[in-house]
Amino acid sequence: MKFSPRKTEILKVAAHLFNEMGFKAVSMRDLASEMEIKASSLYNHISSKEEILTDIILHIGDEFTDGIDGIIQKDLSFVDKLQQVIKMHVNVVINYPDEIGVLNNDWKHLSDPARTRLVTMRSEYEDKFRSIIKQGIKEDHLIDVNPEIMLFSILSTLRSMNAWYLKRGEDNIDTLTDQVVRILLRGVLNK
Amino acid sequence: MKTSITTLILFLILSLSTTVFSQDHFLVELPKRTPDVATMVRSYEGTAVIPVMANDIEGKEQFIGNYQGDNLILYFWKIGNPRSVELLNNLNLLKQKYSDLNVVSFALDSKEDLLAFTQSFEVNFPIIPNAEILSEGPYGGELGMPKLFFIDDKGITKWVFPAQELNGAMDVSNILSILHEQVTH
Repeated sequence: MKFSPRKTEILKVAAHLFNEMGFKAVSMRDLASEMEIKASSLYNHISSKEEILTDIILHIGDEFTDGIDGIIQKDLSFVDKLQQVIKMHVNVVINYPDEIGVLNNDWKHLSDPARTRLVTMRSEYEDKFRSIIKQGIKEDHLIDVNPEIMLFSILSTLRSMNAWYLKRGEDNIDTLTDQVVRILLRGVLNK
Repeated sequence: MKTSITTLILFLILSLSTTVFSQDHFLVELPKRTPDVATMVRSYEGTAVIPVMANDIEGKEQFIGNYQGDNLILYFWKIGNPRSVELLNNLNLLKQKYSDLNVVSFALDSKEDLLAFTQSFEVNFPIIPNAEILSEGPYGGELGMPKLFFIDDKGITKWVFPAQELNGAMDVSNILSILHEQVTH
């Protein structure tokens, strides 16, 4: 999804407001006021609040889909793929913390066909993630536990990281990414 | 002295009770909510059209009440909004097809900008300029842009189309055509 620079700016400000106040609480007037423009000027770039929500959420969906597809196609071991997928996920969270908040909290306000598209994207993303985990277990690179629990544990951490990142932050992004990968792949015990 | 002490005690009790009273009544902060599009659409449908009187870009007075007896489409649009302009052609055609269907449009642009726009883009129905206040207030700001209100011959808002439902101009044109035939026959 490619947007004009002005539309990208509108989506960024809207994502921040939606994440802070909730999609339902934000009016077009709030958005215009935050951008210091007239509400009617917004309509040169977007048609409605629903369109903004759709664009924010599906853009993030595309980031995850493109990210995992690119990694799957690489000639890497399954453990390296898993490591790269986690890194990619952390990077998306760091680059779009407000947008991830909107995805987590306001996706239910999407209307069809956007809602169905998101649900499909999410399901396909999980399938790809799951297949990497299963292959890693099969080839004895990962511990032999229920792959569903492993997938759930990893994704739960990654999905809620945006809230922690917005609140606490981390100056060194590489350190953060490496530590998340280390904790998720090697655990917390000092072996 | 006794009166002063009594007054002081009474003042303290009153202050304290006011504080407690205030705390009891202001502890809950109601969350701000903007009505969703579906709720807004429902709130318009079945209600009498909001009468509006304004001059169009040609300086002619337009009064919505004058259209009673015919079906009427109120169309809100903006020059810079691509979807708005896309629908103008279809509304032109619709107006040509049905002589008893009227269209009055409300644009968010200035009269000057609209006059310049109509030099190169023919619009065969009235355009009322500077409709921002009307669009953001009585005619539902959160419905997006463009938006369309279908008013029946009795002056009742029959259907409301928010921006999210005005995606394909041809589809919308067909829908409006069907709706018009449905209410006239």
